[in-house]
Amino acid sequence: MKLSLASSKLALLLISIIPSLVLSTGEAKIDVRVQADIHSSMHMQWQKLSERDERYQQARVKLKMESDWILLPYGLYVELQTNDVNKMVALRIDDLISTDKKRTITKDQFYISINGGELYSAIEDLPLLSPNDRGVMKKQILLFILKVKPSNYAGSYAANFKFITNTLP
Amino acid sequence: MKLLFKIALLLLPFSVFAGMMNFTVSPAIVKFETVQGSVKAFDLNFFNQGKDSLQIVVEVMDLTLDAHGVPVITNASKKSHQWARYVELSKDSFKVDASESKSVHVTLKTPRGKLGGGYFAISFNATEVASKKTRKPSQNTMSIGGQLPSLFIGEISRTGTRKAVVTSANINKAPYTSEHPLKLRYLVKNIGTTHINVDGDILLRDGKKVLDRVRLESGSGLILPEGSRYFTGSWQKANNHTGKKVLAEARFSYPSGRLIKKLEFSVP
Repeated sequence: MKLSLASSKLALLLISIIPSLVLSTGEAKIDVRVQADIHSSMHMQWQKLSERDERYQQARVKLKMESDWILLPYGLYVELQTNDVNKMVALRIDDLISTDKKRTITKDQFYISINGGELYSAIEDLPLLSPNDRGVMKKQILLFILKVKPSNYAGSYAANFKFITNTLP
Repeated sequence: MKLLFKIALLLLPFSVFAGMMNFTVSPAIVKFETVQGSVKAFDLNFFNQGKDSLQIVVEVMDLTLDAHGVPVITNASKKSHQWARYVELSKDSFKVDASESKSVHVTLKTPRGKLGGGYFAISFNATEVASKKTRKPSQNTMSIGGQLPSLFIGEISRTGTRKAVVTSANINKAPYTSEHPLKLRYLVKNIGTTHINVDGDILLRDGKKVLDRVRLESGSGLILPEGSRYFTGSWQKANNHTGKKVLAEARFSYPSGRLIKKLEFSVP
């Protein structure tokens, strides 16, 4: 019992003295083990682009349009980043609903172009960030195209955009 | 008519359409075993790492995987192996300030009389609180939000059967280059009652001579019951064997099971 008490006193003494001894000897290197949990994170930032915005215009000139399609006079600038190799992000667009809730423009008439490239139908979620993009700050300009049908009515419509984040199990 | 329509779209209010979200839900995936009739409890943590407050709506939803292994989260149903209807949440909506975290308590009442795997997702739908406050009523026609789910992959212990079949096998079209190599693609279907993780490779033979061995890629290889998943192998050296008749023997393995699919083709 006495021995163990003496041992523990010695241990405490050594613990308090060793850092001072190391510093006093002028040693520049101390090994320190640090353990940290890095949590999976997802960053998403967006900004409306008006028709006059330079980024909108740069994407617009690359876009190949058909005569009966309408390019909406605004775009979306999106920044996405994740540190998780198993995460992916897609954009989901719901049907457009008139503000008086009487009429609908279905999303099969809605198309999206990334940076003025090819058009993707809004029927399915549009992938914006894939597992290969881990760690990369992905910056994209989204343009929206509507194929108008004769049955569509003019008016103000509401749209819901949602970034869908998925973890690959 | 078209002109009128264009003018109307120009009027769509978009002036508050800017924002930022930075959040995380942990754990992202929960794998568990349970027994019939028992109650399982889980805690999920939502952490708002952004600078603005977020309004969160929490939903219990069905979970399936598409043929590429990407989760498909849909409204809760009574389909087999979907357990969303047995789940209760401690809260279904809340507000989280910047740099704040909140927990949601998830309770699963494991059904009796069910066998094998059970799956559901807890979906966190986030919208910015700040942007809502600044909207005028007339401008409230656009919304943007984020959805981040936590996936639950469960099984009633020792009750599931594990069985898979290959439902299709094909090769992409020539010509083959280093950028566009010969690819063999297989679709594997889970016909068991619980999930399996499938792994595989392809042995390429010319008669008895082994030409090459190719690994089949498909992420984790997880397939839920009644689901299918693509497995793809790229053969970079195909051009070294033009004119040969090749037998591709794809071998798949999963816990307590093996599968072989043979495919014969000529390298053009």
